Amino acid sequence: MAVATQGTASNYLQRAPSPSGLADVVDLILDKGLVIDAYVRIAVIGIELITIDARIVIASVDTYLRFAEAVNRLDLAQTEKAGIDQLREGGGKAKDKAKGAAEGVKEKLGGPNGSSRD
Amino acid sequence: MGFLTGLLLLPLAPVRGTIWLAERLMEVAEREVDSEATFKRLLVEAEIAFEAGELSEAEYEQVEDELLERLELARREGEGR
Amino acid sequence: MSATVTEAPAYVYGVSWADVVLGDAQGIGEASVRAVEHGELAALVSELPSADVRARRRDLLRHAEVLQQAFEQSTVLPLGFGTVFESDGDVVADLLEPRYEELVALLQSLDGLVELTVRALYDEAGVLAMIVGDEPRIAALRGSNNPADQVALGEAVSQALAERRARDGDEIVASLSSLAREVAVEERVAEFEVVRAAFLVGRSAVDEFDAKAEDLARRHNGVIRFKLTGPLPPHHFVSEQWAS
Repeated sequence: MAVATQGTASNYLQRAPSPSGLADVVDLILDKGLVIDAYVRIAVIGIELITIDARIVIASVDTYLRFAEAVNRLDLAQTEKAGIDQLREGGGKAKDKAKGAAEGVKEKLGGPNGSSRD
Repeated sequence: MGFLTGLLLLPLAPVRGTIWLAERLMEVAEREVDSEATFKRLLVEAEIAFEAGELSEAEYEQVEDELLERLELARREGEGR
Repeated sequence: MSATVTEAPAYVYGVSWADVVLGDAQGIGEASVRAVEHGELAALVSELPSADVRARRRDLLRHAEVLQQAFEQSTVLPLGFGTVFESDGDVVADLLEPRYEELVALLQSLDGLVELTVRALYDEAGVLAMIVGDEPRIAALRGSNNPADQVALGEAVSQALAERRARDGDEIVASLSSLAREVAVEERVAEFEVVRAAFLVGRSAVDEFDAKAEDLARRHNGVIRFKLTGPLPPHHFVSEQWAS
């Protein structure tokens, strides 16, 4: 996939025309969309589960030590270069999942201007 | 339980990335999926690991399915089925 | 093309205009997707092999994909995952017919609008390097062998990360919101997540939105990874106006 050879228009953003992984799709179709009282919900996705406050886990000493370890292991001379290289190469799989999406986003244009939503 | 724990017992995980990532994957493998919020968090942790190269795409997909199963299990237990 | 009326359980993906063109995506359990029409409306439906279905990732992805394909040609009201009626007849009798005016109004209000979702994740090494660079105190604590220093270091990093995350998240949402009709910001669920948000955008503004997201990605290169998904049917933007 010719990522690096594209112009500056699309070097940095990872695009997907539609959800490619579960982490994308759960935000769209769990507890989203129209909710209909119907015959049965496919009751495997825990829609009725009690939702605990979705705050990030409260930090503990364990967490602090892990942060310390991560920071201690940083090779600062390498990090900036590595960070940029990582992104250019698409971080491994991530760009492979994009499926040539830059063109996909633009091809869907051309519809009428949206009416105001009030 | 299951697939991910087995994967992490192999001496490969720390080699591919930071120890932090391996520990987070361990949490994904072991943490009880007691709510949709936890499910989402473990899913994102697995996604981060996948994007960092810790998991192959096939492995990642298997983790996704496993998390779904555990969410379902927790839900059924919660309802006392 | 009208649907064959069956008595089998009907899984419903969404509602669209009756002239909706279905793609070739297979539905849940490999069933074929069809349109159940009523007046100007059509429900997107497939026959469920049995009521006892355990959803797998492919089913969730299929639900989204069926909607996505219909959305290429028509306005679509997405349903949440897992809505099943006893039959096609019930889809009409219990949904399309009694809620007809509401559904038509909702569809009309969404004509020409799309959803774009943005997710931003920190590159772990990249953001930690920024934090170390920003705070001399943190830089000084690195490499100390004193366990108490390590805890203090970790706590300081954790705090700095939380502050940076909030700032970056706000900046990203503010920047993109200027092009959106509506915005829905989700709760973060992981420490290295910056933001996850959905934007309702007029189709004609999609290019500009894309360019703005690209610019953000460029400016944060090495520290934040951006993922833009869409145009999507308005999953985040239908339920508020709908009383179930």
